Amino acid sequence: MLKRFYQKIFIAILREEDAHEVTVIGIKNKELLYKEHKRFDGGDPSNPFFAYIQKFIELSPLHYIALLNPEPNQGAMEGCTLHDIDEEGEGGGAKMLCRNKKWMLYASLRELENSQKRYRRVGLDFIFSPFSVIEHFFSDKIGGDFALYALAQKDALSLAFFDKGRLEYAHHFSMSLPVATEEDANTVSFSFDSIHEDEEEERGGIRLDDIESLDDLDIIDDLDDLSDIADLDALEEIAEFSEDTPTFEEQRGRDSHGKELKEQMDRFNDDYRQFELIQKTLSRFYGGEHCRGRFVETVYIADAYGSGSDLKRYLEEELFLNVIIRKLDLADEVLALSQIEEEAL
Amino acid sequence: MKHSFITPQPKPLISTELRMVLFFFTVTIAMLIGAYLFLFYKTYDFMAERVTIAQKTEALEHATHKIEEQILYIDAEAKLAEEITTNNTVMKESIRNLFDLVPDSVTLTRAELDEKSLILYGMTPNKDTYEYMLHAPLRSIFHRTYTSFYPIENGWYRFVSSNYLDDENEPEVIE
Repeated sequence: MLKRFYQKIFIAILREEDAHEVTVIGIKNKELLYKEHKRFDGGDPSNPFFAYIQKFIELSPLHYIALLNPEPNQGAMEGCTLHDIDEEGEGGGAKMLCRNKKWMLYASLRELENSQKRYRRVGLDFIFSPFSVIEHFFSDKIGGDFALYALAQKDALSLAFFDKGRLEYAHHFSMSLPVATEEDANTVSFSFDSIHEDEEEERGGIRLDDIESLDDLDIIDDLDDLSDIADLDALEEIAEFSEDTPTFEEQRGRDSHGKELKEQMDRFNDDYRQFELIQKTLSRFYGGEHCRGRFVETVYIADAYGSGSDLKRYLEEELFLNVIIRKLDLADEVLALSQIEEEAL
Repeated sequence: MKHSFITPQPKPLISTELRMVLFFFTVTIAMLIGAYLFLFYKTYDFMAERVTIAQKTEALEHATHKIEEQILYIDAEAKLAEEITTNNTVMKESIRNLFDLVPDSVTLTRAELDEKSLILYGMTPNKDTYEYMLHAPLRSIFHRTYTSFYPIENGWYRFVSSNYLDDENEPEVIE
């Protein structure tokens, strides 16, 4: 009864490789009071970051802090009965959550504990899997026919095959992972052997075996390099043939143009990398036991990064897939999941 | 827990300070309510007692009134008894005076003494003895005296003397 007198504050933390995005909403009697957003530089949470969150959690005791699990060792699998999981469980160093008794989410227990330690000053209430975001965001679609669903983040790509609401196969790729050594690979140990193999593959980067099948893509790689060179050449030409020293405004214009160009190139590279990962996942799915003669015709992509046009083109032209891209505000999805969780308490 | 890998931390809605403040407020309110209930009970009890006392007072007043009535009755009874005693004393004195009044030669056979009348039955050796020895004192006492004589065998006379006292408060009849 007392809860009615307090506002509920939901805080979503999105961790990127070099920054934290914090989105806060205040709700009272199912009415949105405010929404704030702030970005903090730094891969590790800083004092201003904690101070910003602390400012909100002091407003009401009913505050819920949610984190979208940014760690690489996570995923989803079909079936719950194989691991005797009714709703949730732990085993083999992984925390597992069963969804509708049909499929399950898993994440490294050690990484979850590390995340909780990392944000201990404010305390985490929820840690969500990207696959939960896919499930929630595409809740109107996953009940339909067999299709591939993807969540494209800046530093990660999550792929899930759903057939009539049932997860068939899934994989999570972390784009920011450094090239792993053998020792690193041994530090995370899952009992799921197949998953472990997949993770090791990811840590080792893209294998040459996979790239062999993508003959056409060499041209794109060349183009990528050439575009950088051409860009540099253009700058050199300006420096060489210009008789006058450029003004400050001209220099700033050139700098901003260079930045835009760099961002464009980054997006292009990311799109291409995501395309590669989707292609690899598809080939792995078709080669595995999950396929059972089914072929993916449609790919739904939840785009949380802002890229997508090149990725859509690649997928449509190279793999002949129907691609539907939906823009996604990841923070809003995390906040929506937080509210669902809070209501279920 | 549907989507989250961790369970949320407990959210105490009431801080320690607020809890203490609420505790003291609760205790204070409880004490106030307790005092109010006590006073309410006492007032109710007092009113009930007042009603009982009023009933008792009424009963006592009734009883007092009854006793007063009894006292009046007893007073009247006592007065009556005193009056009777006085009358008896007077009558006794009158009878004694009457017997003192009757001479030795006259014999009374019956006497009827009333409040305002005296009827004597007796025998006298002769009318003169009666006339001088008894009738004269009777006449001095009573207002009206009537005597009837009847001769008997031995030459004496049986007499009936009726003597009356008139009511002094009665108005005199003017002929």
